[in-house]
Amino acid sequence: MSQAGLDANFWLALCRSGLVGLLVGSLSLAVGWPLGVRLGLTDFPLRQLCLALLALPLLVPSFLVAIGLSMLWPGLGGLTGVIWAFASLGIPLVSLATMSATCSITGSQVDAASLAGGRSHVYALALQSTFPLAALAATLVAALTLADAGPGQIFGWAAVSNELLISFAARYDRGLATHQALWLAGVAALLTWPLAWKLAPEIAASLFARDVNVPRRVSDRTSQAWSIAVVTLCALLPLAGLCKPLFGGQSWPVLRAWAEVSRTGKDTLVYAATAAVIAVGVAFPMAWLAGRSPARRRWLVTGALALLALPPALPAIWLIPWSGMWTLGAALALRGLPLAIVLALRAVGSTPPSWADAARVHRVPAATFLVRVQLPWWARWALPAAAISALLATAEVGTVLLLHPPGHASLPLALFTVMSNAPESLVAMLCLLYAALALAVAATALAAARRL
Amino acid sequence: MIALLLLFVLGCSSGTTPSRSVVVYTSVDDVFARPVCEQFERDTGIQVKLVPDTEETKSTGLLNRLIAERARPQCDVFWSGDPVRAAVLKARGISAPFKPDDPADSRGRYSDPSGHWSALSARARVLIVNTDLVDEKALPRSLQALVDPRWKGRACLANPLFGTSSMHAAALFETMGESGARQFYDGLKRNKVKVLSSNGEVKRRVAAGEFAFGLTDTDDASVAIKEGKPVTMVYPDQDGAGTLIVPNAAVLIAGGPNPESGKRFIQYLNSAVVEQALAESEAAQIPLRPGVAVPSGVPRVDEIKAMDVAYDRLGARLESLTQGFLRSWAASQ
Repeated sequence: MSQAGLDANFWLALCRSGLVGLLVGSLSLAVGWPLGVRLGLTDFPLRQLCLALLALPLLVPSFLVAIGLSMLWPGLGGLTGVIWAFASLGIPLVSLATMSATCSITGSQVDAASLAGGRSHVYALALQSTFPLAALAATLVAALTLADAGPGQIFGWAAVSNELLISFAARYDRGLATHQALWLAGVAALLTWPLAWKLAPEIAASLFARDVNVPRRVSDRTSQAWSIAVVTLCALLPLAGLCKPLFGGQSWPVLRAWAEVSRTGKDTLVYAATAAVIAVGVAFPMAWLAGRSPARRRWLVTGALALLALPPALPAIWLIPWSGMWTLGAALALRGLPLAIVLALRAVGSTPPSWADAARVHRVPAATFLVRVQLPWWARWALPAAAISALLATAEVGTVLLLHPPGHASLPLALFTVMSNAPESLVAMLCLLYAALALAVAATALAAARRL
Repeated sequence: MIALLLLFVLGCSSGTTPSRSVVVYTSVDDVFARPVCEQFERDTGIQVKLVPDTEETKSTGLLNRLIAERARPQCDVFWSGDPVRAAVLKARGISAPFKPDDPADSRGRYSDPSGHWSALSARARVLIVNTDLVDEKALPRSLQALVDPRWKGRACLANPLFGTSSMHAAALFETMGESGARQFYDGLKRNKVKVLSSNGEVKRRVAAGEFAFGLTDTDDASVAIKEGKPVTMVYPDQDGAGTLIVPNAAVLIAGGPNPESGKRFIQYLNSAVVEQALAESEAAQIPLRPGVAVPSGVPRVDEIKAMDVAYDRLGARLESLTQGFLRSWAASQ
């Protein structure tokens, strides 16, 4: 294993990445946290559409967001471009996580706060109550930026993930890449550990079941304006950049794009489903084992953050000798596993202990309790966890490239293999189809979860 | 919605599978490689299981997969977009020698002397120039334009650690010598030449008018021209050191699962039919085989003054550069 890569260039790049992570995490928290609270407490025309569009950047590889922005503003580059591209992923993630935490505040709590100090008091208390999850989501965002080379490559910002890419793709030295990646994951864990340590018990405590008396959402124009602004900056502008070639007078290559989607669609869904099943199947038992123990929860959250900071292709590099559909599914599951763990912790934390006590008193068999009570309760968290894992797995390109059975590429991989030299209109059409399919999967999962 | 997704999955069934197959990994752009493979399937009845690569700057790159599969190869043929990647495979003992009958590179100028790769249709490293920004009379004609203060801050190239830009760097170190090439790259930095993520980015940003010109490959420039972008391409240094020719390289993988089908595929790649198809495609590749008809706009290889470089030495040269000078140079951008 070469040590030459851990030189001044590597450490400088690590510092630059740390700066990006800090700025993106802070920006995501500053914008996404209050927005998430407003999304949870207010209603306005087109709210559902805003939510769907807000989720869009999370469903596509970050590279596409960066390319979309650079196509719209050719002069955009350096730190500004990187921050914008990453914030387009970070702000929605923090907003949606905060919104989900806000939705666990009961109607009676909202009414009480409103009587005590008016609407502003409700917002203040909701902000206070949702801070742990928002801060954790912002930390996840910061960790995600460390391992993602995409925006840095597009905007010319040499980050530590680019150093890893050089070790992988220019030097073909997986030993060195692994060494660098482990350092990166270690640094990420070290930086995020204090926060995870502090917040994990609060997350456990704040997520007990309170889904009685759901608060009524009040109409609010400010929330609408805020949401539209964020959706425009994070989703619509990158999408407009990607679709720009379709409006350059060329014909729309719908059939050719659909042929690509048809060729790869089945395998894409199979890989996504396999990854989702594995991620959920691993996350929930781990969360169950962690139970309500603050220490075990801390270790699990910290481990999830470290896993998130690892470059996704790193495990794949070592799994190549066993490449195939199941190996690929397992490797892709690692991408969604950290978020699945967070949701699983939430599911386990929200299970009232009195249920287990009652089952024990009435001597209900453990298997019956699990099947009739626990699993249906967990399903409302398992479905979004599966959907998120499936979508993160779908957006992953490097792992699929390394492990997929020959002749069975995924749609994003096909998109990335044609985008360098295919007509711009075809690439734009594929991006549109991919975004539409991702939204369809997300909407299906969320609708199913809502019914439970 | 779930029913729609199920219908979609069922609608995507791949149909019957021929009994014979060949596994082809390729770093040639999917849009150009796939039609060739489909024609091979029609002509021979052998199914091609194609694994195309992304641009190296977008993922870990397919070569890692070949290297990691060394003990248990899954691939029969690596169809490389340049001979440097083929040289890496040879150096690591992953390729097997195979010389096709009647090779496209009949003079053996670009192929491995020991048969570890056979060269076919080529691209060239060219300057793509925005014609809205640069007058016909003022077109840059040499790589030295990149270090000419007249063009300060107006030119771009792809990251020299990856792809054909890395091969070009190795070739420049071979032809200019160590100190000459270092001076050239330092000059690029002084002249504020922008380093972009890929040749495709160079094409896109020059076509968009962000830069006056850039260094890229003929297939990128050709696609932009065919899309009606305001660009033209210039073969640099035609009155000097010459233009770097970048041939495709067909590599037989040692111990692959279908060696006979693999050899047959390499024979097919070396045929006049394939070279003509690649010349007529949007890639506008330059045939190496004498006598292959070329469409207008595609030169014959003999019409280009080619950079005089020993292709079998570039792999080793590049390996030392990516661990030394080029890595530091790219990091300091």
